[in-house]
Amino acid sequence: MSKSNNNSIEDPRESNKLGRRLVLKTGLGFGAAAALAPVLAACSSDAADETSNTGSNDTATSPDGTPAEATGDPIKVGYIGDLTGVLAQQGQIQLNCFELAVKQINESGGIGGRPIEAVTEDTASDSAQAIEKSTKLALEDEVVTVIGGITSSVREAALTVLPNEKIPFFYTTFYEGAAAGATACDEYLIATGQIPNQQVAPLVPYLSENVGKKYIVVGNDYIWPRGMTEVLEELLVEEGGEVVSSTYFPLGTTDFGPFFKELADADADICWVTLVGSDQDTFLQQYKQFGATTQIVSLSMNDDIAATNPEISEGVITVQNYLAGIESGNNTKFLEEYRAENGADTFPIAIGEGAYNSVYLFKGAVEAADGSTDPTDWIPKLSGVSFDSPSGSIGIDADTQHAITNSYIGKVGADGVIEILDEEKAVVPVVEGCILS
Amino acid sequence: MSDLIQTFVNGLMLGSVLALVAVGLTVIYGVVDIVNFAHGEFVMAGMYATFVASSQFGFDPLLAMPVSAAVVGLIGVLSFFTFVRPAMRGTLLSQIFVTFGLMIFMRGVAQTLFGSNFETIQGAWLSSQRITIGDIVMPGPQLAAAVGSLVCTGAIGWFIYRTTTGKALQATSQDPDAALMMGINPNKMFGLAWLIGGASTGVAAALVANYQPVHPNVGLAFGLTAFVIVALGGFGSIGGAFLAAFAVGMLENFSAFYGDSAYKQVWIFGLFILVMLFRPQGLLGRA
Repeated sequence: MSKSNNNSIEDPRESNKLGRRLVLKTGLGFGAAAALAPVLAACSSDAADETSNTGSNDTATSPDGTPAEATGDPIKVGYIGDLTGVLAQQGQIQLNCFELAVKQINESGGIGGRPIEAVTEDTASDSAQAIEKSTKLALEDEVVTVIGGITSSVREAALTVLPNEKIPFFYTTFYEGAAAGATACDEYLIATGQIPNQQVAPLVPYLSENVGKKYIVVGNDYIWPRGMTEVLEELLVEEGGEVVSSTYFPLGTTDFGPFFKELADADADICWVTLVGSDQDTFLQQYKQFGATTQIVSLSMNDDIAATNPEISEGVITVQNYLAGIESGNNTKFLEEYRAENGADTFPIAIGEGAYNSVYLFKGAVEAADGSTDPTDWIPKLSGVSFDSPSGSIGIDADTQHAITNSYIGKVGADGVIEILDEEKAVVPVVEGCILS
Repeated sequence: MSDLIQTFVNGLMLGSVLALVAVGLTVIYGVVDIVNFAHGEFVMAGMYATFVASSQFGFDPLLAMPVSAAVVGLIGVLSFFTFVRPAMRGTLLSQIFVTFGLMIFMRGVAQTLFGSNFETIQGAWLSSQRITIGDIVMPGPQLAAAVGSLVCTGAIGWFIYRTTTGKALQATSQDPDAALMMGINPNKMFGLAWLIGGASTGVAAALVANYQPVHPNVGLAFGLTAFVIVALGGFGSIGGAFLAAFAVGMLENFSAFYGDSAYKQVWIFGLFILVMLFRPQGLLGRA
């Protein structure tokens, strides 16, 4: 179709005609603008997100008066996470778990009689928003601690603000640990997710014994996948294994065709996947369609993804500090209460359990500090707190302020349920050169 | 050698799907002279239509194709008559932002209706089909998407260049007033362009839903790629979009296989900048 000038004034296109050159100019802004869209969307949903609630504290004073009521001054605790944008699925689960802990604590007497008042903020997976929202939580809401975070960029962003305001940040997602640099060892950072030695170290010997030692790596192109490959390679030196090739794709890749030829040529035992978000699903779907059969090990597989997409997830091996299949009274109770709040078919995931645990660890530390919410009082008490979590007993390592967690190795079955194959209890976090105590 | 052939085949399969997505965008621009920034979200809507038809009503994605085409075609027509047509009388900025607003609106609606989960279609017939020739693998869904896209793009080309209504579309594209004097209602033609653009995008979405998960933000990658392809090929040119789509498909596969896949987009945008420097009207666009 060709275009020609037209000079009529009747043409609705006439005034301010959208010329090609202009379209190109504005088009260059399209990428930036499109990237901005979740930000705009997040702004518009601010009103809804800024819910200030005290759990169901009001209902705690039930007529039968069984649980002790929390009546003192509320303790303000902030949550920041990815409630919109590409990680919204995980962010929402993280928030659900956080809210469950707040509700339970408030219904059973709060922290030393004081209820928790939760203030929720959405970062939309965006560093600039993370800085803005952390600042708001610190200065406007005057919270005493902040819990949440998924991506490393949001963690780094929050850490540019919170330590200066002397507000401890509980980061609840598995991440690259020491590879993140100096911020991994910050007196105001408390990490309840796993770091590489806790995820990879228990997994690799299991794989050597049961699957093989020759790996091909595919991941997204940012620090966590690359950091995990480094840790894997170090461990494989001891094991006598090798990584034959590693390929990284930009976030938001829709076509993994080029990798499958590499995979077919590689003759590896294990395909090590560190793709996140929808990229992992796209990859798994195309993996089966290309007829690949190498054993997949994916560090971001979880019960929620497996249950939503059983067909593509079947057979994938993962390692997490929490899996819904953990057999313990605590986990049964946790699952029941989580599902009562969020629906019968829903699953909490590791980063959510980390948020749940964080609230309880905070409670334990404040109570050990005789109710003081001054971090210089309660942070030193953290290492003395042991919490009987849904995934077993956990605590905080005094030197690194990272959690001593349990590692569960699982495999997705045909029904989308992750079966636990092996476990290692109380794995101590290793952050080289970090001595905070 | 098999590496080369497989990479070439992958490039062809990717290119043909991108072509259909981009053709929808270029038809709308060619006739109505508006860039639809919500085009990626049209793909997302079609993928959700396919997903719902499959998960709720048991349609195989292939059978859900007409549903997806109808849904997205309808969204196209409705968007035109409710938002776009009034904005065409407004300032340039309102023309740009009306479809940009539509993009954000559609993402919001999708998140409200379906949540932010990544959903894949379970049990699609194509998913288990595969053609293997020696070392060369052609997965059923990608192959079907390629064939379907080629047929659909061909049909659009035939309709526009060979039928009376198609000629009326071309006439409107060239001069709506002269067309009006010849008894062609430009508004109907504008609406038709949105219908065709939407419906063809719906077909592409149903095909893509066989091998990609659907989520509210899935349109982002498609919208940006389609825009680059249309600009590369020349705004409004169907042949140009077709050619550019294959160039992008090939470049993406060859650069990722023989180079570092982390930088595959650098090559695509590098080509884009290069073409814009030396041929700003695009490969087949008219200056």
